Amino acid sequence: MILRSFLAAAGLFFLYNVALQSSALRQRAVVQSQWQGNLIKAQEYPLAKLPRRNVIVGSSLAARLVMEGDFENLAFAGDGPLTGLELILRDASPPRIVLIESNLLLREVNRDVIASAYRPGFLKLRRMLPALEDRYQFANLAIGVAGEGMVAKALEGGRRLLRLPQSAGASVEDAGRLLQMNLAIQREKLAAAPDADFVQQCIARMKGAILEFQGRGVRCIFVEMPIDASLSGLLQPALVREQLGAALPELAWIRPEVGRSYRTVDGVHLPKDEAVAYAAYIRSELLRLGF
Amino acid sequence: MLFNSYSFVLLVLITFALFYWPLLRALQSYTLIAASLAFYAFGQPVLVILLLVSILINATSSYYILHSSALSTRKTWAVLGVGMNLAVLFFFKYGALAVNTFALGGSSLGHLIVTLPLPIGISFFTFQGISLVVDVFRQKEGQARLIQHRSAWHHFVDTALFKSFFPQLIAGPIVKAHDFYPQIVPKSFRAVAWGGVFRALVTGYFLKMVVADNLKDLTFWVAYPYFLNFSTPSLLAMLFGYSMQIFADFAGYSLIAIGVARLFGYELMENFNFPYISQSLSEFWRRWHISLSTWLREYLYFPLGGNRRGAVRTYLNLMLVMALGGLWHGAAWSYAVWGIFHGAGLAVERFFGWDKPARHALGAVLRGIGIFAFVTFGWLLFKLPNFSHFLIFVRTCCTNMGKPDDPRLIAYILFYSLPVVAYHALYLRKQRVGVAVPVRWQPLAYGACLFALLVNSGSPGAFIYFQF
Repeated sequence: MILRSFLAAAGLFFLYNVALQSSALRQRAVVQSQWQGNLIKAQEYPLAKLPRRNVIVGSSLAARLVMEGDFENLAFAGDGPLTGLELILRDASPPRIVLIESNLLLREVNRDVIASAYRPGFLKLRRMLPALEDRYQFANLAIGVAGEGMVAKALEGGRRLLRLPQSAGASVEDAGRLLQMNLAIQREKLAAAPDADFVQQCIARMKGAILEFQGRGVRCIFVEMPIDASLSGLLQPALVREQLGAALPELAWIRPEVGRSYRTVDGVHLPKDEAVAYAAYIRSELLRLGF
Repeated sequence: MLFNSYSFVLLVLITFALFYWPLLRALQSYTLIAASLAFYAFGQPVLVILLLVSILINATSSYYILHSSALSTRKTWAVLGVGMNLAVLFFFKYGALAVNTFALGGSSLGHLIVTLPLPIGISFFTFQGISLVVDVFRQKEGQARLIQHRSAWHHFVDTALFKSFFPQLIAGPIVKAHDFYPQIVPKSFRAVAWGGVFRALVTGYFLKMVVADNLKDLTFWVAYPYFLNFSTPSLLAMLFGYSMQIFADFAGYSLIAIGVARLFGYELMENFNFPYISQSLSEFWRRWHISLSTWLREYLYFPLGGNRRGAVRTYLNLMLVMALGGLWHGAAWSYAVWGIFHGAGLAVERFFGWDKPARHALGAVLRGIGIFAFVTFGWLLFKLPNFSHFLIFVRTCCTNMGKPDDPRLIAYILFYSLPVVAYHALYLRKQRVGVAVPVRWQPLAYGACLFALLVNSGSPGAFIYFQF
């Protein structure tokens, strides 16, 4: 039975890879969660067509930026810029410019993300066998092709049947209340003094990566993502700004426009329209700075 | 060391090769003990000392119970053995809870206790130690079967193996001394039951890596304040998903432990017996975490008098055992509340006679749904140990009906819950027609599990029960 089970698994794997040759099917794949989105981003980075031009690394703050064209967004929700930098360092073909989000620097490198992208042997196999990519997990196709639509219809029908209110966007009062609550949580987080050793460790790692990039001819620049005005002056953002500036004084910065207030959904994340506008602003700043 | 890590696979392979190597045949127990200590040391090396101390306490007390002729001496060693096990458990696991509850954090001892790391698996190996001491004492009193008189050294080695056996060291199944000691005999490679090993490992890894690890990312949002943004159907789907996840995670872990133990010729007790088909809470507790519930029954409920001392005492015993069982899971009062919630459920069920099987099929189905809903609601206390967050979640479920649904999230949760539902449905089929999956289809079923492991595993996460 054991041998036949392995043969059955091999057969299913072969058939699945054949099915994935259809680009129409591949395009129906959806993404399960932000963590899977991170893995997919990481796995696709070394598989991308070369030469690559510009990359932005960071956290969920920069992940929202819509940097079309020659920009790759390698910002990971839940992680920080060090994870993206580590991924780029391991790749044989460096980009021309690396934009580094400075806000959430104090996060460890996510080793799971790195291991997933550079698992020994998998890199070559993934080029031939798309079934080994997280993007094409069977569940992602099943939900993309049928599951999500079926559930949406069932929910709508269920609400109608039970005479429950149809789902709608949050009311203005709700959104305001949530924003205030999130602001309070963020305020508490960002006002707390970070562990000094950890700050030094992160900055040293960042500096090491940047020096290595510069040695390979890559140009780096810090980008500060706009957050709610009541948060940006708190201890943690100020400390990171100051210490990064001291450690790498020659590096250029793109900072939020002075005097412009940015809307956020929870104090730190930009809504889509603001993210698009800020991406355009970054492009204009890059031109101004001669990048 | 996670069961779903390369380092664990390597450890098992090396241990397996040494264990069955003819030249080392006489040292099989030592090989397993060395592997177990390496396994335990992997995360927190310093805590191996605690494990060794625990082994020493139990080996010494059980040895002197076995070799003393005077009842009073045996009693003294038994009380000492159980007391020291409980003291170690209390100090490392519940010390911080006591310090916080009685606001003793200002003192230097209080500060030390609060900052102590929780030794992984302490609840499991402590309970095994108590089982050893009590079993040996009962054996001497003629109540139990089992442990042979051996030399002090051999008794120490057997105890070290019993306490540290790595497949079940940090998250069970909780092995009882009277089940394990008789199995400590030389093992032969030819006797390895490969079919049983394969089935347990494939099912276990499938439940853990495909079901639980994927559901983990989907139920993550049952955390304050994230859940405030979700609609009622999404919240209920996530709670349902967590119920599936906790089963797949723990049952998967137990099956892997059973499969790995079988590789070395040891048979561990089944820890789960399709609990979500239960028609009563008492049935649920006969099917869920069986090694803990039988431990609590044998070493706590029966000694307290069980149901032999009248109705009131029975209800009190149920509540007490369940509250302590709840606290066993974690050093937070919400776990005790969870235990009392179940204890109260058991008492009410007993009072109304609902613990008897339903007479009609419809009644059985309705009861099954009711028990599942009750148990699932209880898991919320596991997910949200802060009681105020638990209450906010319940309130949010009532107020967020109009919020936008997340059909994709719900679809994923249902998708990954399907194998758990099918797993239970196949058991019901087995009860009806005698076989869960016809023999000719079994390779395809296990092949599909292997295929899913290859292409659909989630990002690796720690086992939920590791924290206990």
